[in-house]
Amino acid sequence: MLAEKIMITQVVTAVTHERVGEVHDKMNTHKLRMIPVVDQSNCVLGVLSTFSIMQSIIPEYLNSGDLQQISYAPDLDIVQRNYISIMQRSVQEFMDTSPLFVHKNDSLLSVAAAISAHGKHEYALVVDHEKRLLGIISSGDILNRLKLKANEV
Amino acid sequence: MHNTNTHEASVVFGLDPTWVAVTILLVVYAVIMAEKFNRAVLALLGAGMMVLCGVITQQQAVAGIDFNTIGLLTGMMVIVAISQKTGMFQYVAIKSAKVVKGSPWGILMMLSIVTAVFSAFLDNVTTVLLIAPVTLLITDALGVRPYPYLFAQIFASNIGGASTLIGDPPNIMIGSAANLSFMDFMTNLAPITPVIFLLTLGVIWLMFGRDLSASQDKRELIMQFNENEALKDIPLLKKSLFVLAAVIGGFSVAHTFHLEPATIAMFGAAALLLLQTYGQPLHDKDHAYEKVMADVEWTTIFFFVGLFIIVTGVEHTGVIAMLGEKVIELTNGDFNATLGAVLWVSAIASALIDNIPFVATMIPLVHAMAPSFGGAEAVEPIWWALALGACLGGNGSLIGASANLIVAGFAQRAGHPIYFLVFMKHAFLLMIMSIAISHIYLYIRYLS
Repeated sequence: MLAEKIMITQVVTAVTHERVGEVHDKMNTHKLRMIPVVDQSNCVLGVLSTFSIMQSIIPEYLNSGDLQQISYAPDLDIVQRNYISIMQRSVQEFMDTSPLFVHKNDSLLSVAAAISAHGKHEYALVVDHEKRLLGIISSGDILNRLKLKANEV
Repeated sequence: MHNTNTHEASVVFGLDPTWVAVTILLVVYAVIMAEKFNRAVLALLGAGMMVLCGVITQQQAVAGIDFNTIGLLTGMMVIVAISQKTGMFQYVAIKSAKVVKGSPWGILMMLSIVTAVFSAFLDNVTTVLLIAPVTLLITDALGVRPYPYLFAQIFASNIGGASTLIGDPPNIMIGSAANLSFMDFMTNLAPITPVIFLLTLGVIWLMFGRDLSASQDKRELIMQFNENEALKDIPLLKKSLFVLAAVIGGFSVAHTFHLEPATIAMFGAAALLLLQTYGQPLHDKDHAYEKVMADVEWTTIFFFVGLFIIVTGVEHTGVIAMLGEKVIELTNGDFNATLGAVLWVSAIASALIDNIPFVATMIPLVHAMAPSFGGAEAVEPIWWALALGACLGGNGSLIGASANLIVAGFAQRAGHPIYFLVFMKHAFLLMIMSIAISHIYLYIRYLS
């Protein structure tokens, strides 16, 4: 089975100058955990995910592992302050510019292995050779397709 | 394999060995300063060139490596790598912040004292690696800018490091080269470093302390930190504290038993490795040993190895002895002037370049000057001048010491970058003050 048979083609996207707060609202409305960021010709520039937003609001000395655990610290309002601060800033500053790309002729096995190896998101973006967005495949989509096939058998 | 011990090295292409050695040294130091390549790789390349170009033989190169310095550094790195897993450093940092009831200036003072004490007995880089992230967490909780705290910590680590034989790599090198014991450092340097530290804190208070304030809510937030949660492995903590105390006790009596500090540190490291894994299955033990070994800063160790060989090459050509004579000529053989020159030149140089290669070059220079002043014992005050100059000089700029760069890296990642010129504006005069105090101390104690 090829990627083009599994992918979702109606993809909600964002553009770089949108604010993180607006895109976060858009993700909530469509119940998304990740949104591709594209330019005017629909070429993918990166992705913004709930995970990358959360990473951005946590102080770097925690993200980097310099403090291995801080169970001794009370709840600090630094995360709330950072959240409010980044909601007003542009998507471009916080998007992940190295998402997982696959092609429409890639096999299901190849896409599943790529998502698993990539590790950062549960999604693969299906693009053409100019990185124009054609669709999106999640690990959930792959499992659902396998379930459907198993039920048929 | 034939023995080349008795062979003298022969320089390739018939070049003058002095020029070859000096060129290798200057090129390596210049590229290290440019910070474009790893300093350990550069030092090893330079060391290899010394042998390949025939300035020294392989045997002379190996003999030039100061294994006391290497052993002491490696042993302490192993002990710290195991101890830091216990969370004791975070525990002490948080406890000290709570002792002063969350007062912003009190916290700055306490964290500086903690940094100075740890830096005196562990290496500076490890100390700031452990204390700086907690500092950022505490300043975030207090809602104050971290710069004054990190600035004070840089000074505390370098001043604390200057106090003991094991506090800073230049002291380790000086102690080994001049056969000065842990207690020699304690009796000659430890009396003055607390004075310098307190005066430095006083100036920091004038610069930043008066403006530090936090609301009562924020101070109460500090009191909600639970330092006991920071302690992760109490049995290992007890073992680590026992070995650390035994090693420091061992350092203080090592000279009496004709033992090198490296022997004590390596024995302590081996004992703690054994205690850490006592009772565990063999597979887990092997895994734990490998993890600790991976935490040792091998880059630093290999940097030292390369550096010792390069300096041995230059020393072998006689150029350092010649420089020693020139220094004595310049100071007209006046001991006071020579001591002052060593102190101030070391301080200025260490503010601008890595103090480790500087001290590595200065050691044979001081040795070369000794006969003119009446032997090895007579030049002891010059060793103290070199130690104070090299360690305290590191405070003069952001690139003056490795610990400064580590703190700057943390600040940058936390979104509060420390700018080179801003730091220098605050730090250089403060460093000059510490060197002036050192000069007065050295004069009163050894020269008057």
